[in-house]
Parts: sequence; C-alpha cells; structure tokens
Amino acid sequence: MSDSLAITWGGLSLPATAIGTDLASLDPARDILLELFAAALNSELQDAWAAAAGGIDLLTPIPVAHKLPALPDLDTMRQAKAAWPMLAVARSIEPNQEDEFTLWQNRITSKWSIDYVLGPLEIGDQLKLGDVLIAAGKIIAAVIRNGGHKAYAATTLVTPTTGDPLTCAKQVLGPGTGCCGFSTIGISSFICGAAAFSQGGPKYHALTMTLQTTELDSISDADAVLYTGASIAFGEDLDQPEPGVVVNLDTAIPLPADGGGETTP
Amino acid sequence: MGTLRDALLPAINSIRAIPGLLGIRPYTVSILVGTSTGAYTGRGDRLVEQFPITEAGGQPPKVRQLNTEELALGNLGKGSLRIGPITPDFPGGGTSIERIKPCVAAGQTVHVMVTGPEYPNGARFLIKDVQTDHALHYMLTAEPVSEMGP
Repeated sequence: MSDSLAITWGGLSLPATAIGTDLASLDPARDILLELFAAALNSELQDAWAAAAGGIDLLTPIPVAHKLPALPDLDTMRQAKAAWPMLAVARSIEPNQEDEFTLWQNRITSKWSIDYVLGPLEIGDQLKLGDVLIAAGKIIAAVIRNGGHKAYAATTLVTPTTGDPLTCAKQVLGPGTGCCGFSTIGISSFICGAAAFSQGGPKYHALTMTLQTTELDSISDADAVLYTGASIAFGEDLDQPEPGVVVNLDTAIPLPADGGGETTP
Repeated sequence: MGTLRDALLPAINSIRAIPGLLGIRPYTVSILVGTSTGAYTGRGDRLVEQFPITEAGGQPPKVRQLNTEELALGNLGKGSLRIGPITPDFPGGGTSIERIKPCVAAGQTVHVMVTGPEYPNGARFLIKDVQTDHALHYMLTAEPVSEMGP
C-alpha cells in the first residue's frame, strides 16, 4: 500500500497515475462535459445550422467549430485563436464549497460556466442566427436530464419483453469509468444575448449557462483498512511490567500476530 | 512608379537599425506561434515556431517599458511594453503585419517573446494592441502573460 489517501472524489482518483503529458486527467469531468455538449449540439443542430450559416463570414458550417476547456476570458482569447461558433466549458471562478455530506463522506459543490459563443455578428446575421442560442440552452438542459447523448457515447441494452437490442445514450454524468463522477448536476441559470470579452469591446452573441454540481469522496483502494467495528477496553494490563490502558480495535483485516493492540501508559 | 513611402521605407529601416549597431537596443523581440498536438490548446506535445522582429541587418527594434500614467490610461497590466517603431515590409526588408499578428489556425497560440536584461531567459507577452495607422511604422503593445514581480 502506498502513502496515498486512496480515495476517489468525483472524477479524481488517488494516487494519480501518469497519463499523457498534461494533468487534464485529474479533472476529467470538464473534458467529458465539453465533448458531450459539443456532440449533442452538433448532432441536433447540424443540418439547420449548415443551411442557415453557410456563407457568413467568420462562421463555420458546424454548430460547434471550436472547443475550449477553459473560461473564455480576455487573456485566453488574446493568446489562443478561436473559430466560431465556440463552446467553452470550465469550472466557474466562483468559490467551491466543501462540507460534510454524511458522517463518512464529504461533498464539494462547484459552479460551472458553459459558454456557447457564435462570434461577432452584424444585425442581419444576428437576427438570422440568434435563436440558436435558446435552442442550445434547451439541448444542454435535455442532455443533462437524459444523463448523456447518443452522439457522444451509446450503450446497447436488451428489451426485457422482446429481447431486442435497444441503443441508448450512455449515462456519463454519474460515477463510472469515463464518466464525470458527479453526485448531482443541475442548471442554475442561463442567459442569451450580446456579450463582450472586454469592456467596450466588440459584441459577441452568446449563451452563458451556469451549472451546479456536487462530488462526493469515497475510499477507492482495496488495501485501505475498513473498520467493521471497534471494541475498546480500558483497564490495567497485568501481563505488562508497567500496567497501562489497553485499546483493541477490530478491523476487516487480520490483526498482526502480536495482537495489534496499542498500550499506552 | 513607386510612392514616396516606397522610397523612404528602406532608408528608414536602415536608420532604425543604427541604435542596435551601437548596442543600445538591449532587448530582442520574436513572435511565438504555438501548436499543440492534443485535442485542445495546451494538450499533448507543444511545438513552438519563433519569428524574430528586426530592423535592417537583424538589429532589434526599440522596446520601452510603459510608465504608470501610460499603464493607467491604457488599462494595461504592470510590466507592459511598447515595441517599435517597426518598419513595415517593403521589397527586400521590413516586417509585415502578418508577421506581427500571424494568421493562425483555431487552437494555436500567439505570444511575443522579449529577451533582454530584465528577462534573460525570455518572457512571454500577449499582444494587447497593434497600431497600423501610420504609413512608416507599426507599434506593438504587449502585456505580460502573468503578473510580473516588483
């Protein structure tokens, strides 16, 4: 057993193993949400968007042309080139809350910022395409209610009555491999309209949605000692040359041959 | 027949190299274009291309640290720099606007790298503003990517 805490907390599993050349695997929920929502928007809006947005400067014929796993603030947009429309998903700058959920589980409550930015549009294009923003909000809400989207990941179930295979969206928001590991997820608010990356800067037409999630911790390592109960005996140990208090703990793993008790004078 | 601007640019380019020849342009400036091999910016391996900004003979441009009044009026971060005048491109020399603000693909990054006495290992700046409204020079305003120390 390593020196690790040996816990999972949402999508984080300790000890962390080396995967690739970055640390994105420490918070996998962000990338999963980004790819999930992008796949859903592209799947649901592709045909309508391509027909309406074709030929408009700066816009691509794909509803989500660029994915950004970060807050789209001014500094970010000045350093990295974006294509439009752009979808950005990141934990919000609002503080996370940590509290005791049960006697043995703690909980982290986080806010997330989802930004779907069409780009800078003149009034004609704005009136032509702007309604996609409220549609995107409804699609993301439906994906959250559904727990996933077939365009992102699908799983095949068997219909109990007929035995026929049934393809469903894989549930990726809760616990499991390749999932977000959320305990709860919900939409706090969303707003559509003109937005700017800087005060007085160009207006970009965007949907900004705030999600709230909770993540619970749990013991992840089979080597971790699980106490099934404890018996504590106080009194003098007459076998010892200097009598003291004996404390014995009953655990799920065998105690060492010497009894495993701790004697404190 | 060329314009007066066409005739002046090569001469101005050479004149702007004189301080560098005299050793009083201690900072060098480059544009860095970063490409990530992963799915998103910053993921996977990082490839960085460097494009120096120079005057005639490869001499560096003027780099000036902005004073507190300029920082406040320009809403600029501490440590911001003004780079230039940079001579626009002409046949045989100068710097094109595409070199200063390269047309990159989505997800690629663009930074200004400044190396000199205060940044011996080089420091990355983001492009805050490029002034292109003068016929004979460009001016580049760059802001530190992260907070500079006092």
